[in-house]
Amino acid sequence: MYYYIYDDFIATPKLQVKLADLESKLALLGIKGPVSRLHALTNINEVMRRAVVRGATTVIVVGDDRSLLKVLNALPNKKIVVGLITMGPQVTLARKLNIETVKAGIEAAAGRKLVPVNTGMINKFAFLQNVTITGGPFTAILDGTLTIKSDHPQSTISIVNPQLAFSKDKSSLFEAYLTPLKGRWSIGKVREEQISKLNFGKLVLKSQTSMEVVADGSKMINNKAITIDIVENAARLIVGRGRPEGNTIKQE
Amino acid sequence: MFEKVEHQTTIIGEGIKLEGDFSGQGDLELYGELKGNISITGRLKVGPNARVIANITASNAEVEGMIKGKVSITNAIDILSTGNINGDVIAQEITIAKGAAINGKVHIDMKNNISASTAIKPEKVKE
Repeated sequence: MYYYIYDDFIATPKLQVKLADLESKLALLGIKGPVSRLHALTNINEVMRRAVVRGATTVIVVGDDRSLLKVLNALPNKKIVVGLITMGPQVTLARKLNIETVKAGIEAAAGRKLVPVNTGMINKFAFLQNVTITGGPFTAILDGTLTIKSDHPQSTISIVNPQLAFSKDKSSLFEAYLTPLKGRWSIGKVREEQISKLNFGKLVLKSQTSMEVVADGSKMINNKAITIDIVENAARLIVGRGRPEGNTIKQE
Repeated sequence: MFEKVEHQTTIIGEGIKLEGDFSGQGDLELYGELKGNISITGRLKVGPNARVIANITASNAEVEGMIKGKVSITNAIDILSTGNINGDVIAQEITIAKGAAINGKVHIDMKNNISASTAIKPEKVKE
């Protein structure tokens, strides 16, 4: 059964015509289903629980990248298929899944082309694409075996999910890029030899100063310690037709 | 259509210190410091300012920096002019540039008898 979750910003008068048009197209395709509308006080975990109780096997989010992440963070089990119909400002993820427009999202929802995706967990928050961490000096433990210490007073660590990035290294592990930040009075650019690149399954990161963390475009609470894990095949996403280069996801 | 390829390139940049046993199926480029053991099936590159205190096993190597430990290379090792190896070296081919330094035994095994049994087993290198 298809179950629809409308994010809170969809409730604006500007989008009501689009929404009505969407609902009629879904009805024509025979994939209409119950709807839950999110608002500021909604508990998304409760919404997902109710969806499962009502028999939902496919949850379609109407919103943008952030909406999809809200649902992925509340997914009760891996059996639920998740789709997205984009109506909103943040569409980077939707573009990578080839569902950037409303029309593409509807066609994808009806076509049900599924791909299993890995997600990252950063202190129990799921992310799909990338995390940027700024702080330092860093100490990290990679996969429980390797200890990494950085001499640089301030660095940026960019963590990327290669499934959803145009990465040459096609692996199920995440990639971490550590780039030192130049001080205000430093001259010259960061050289290539100063940038580190690592693949990991689990990363424990500590910093002597509070870290600024941005996960999939959302800012997180500053911390001095972060744990990043990979959850393999954490979710099955509906994707659109065609596939960008560099994507390693196997079709089901 | 979509292959899961495990070959990865790991880069340890300048100013980064790594401790522990590093192993994998890909290439490793070292521009910082590493203490431990290295066992990779790919290519090892040791940059000019890199400092490695480790026993090393790799398929190929290019050395511009400092290594203290035993080096076992399945194919070829190039020791460039700024390279400095303090330990024994085993490889099928060795190229040593003018200015490079090796303080240890050098064993060139052109029949490629370097196998798992002759490869160096991981053990702690004394600093």
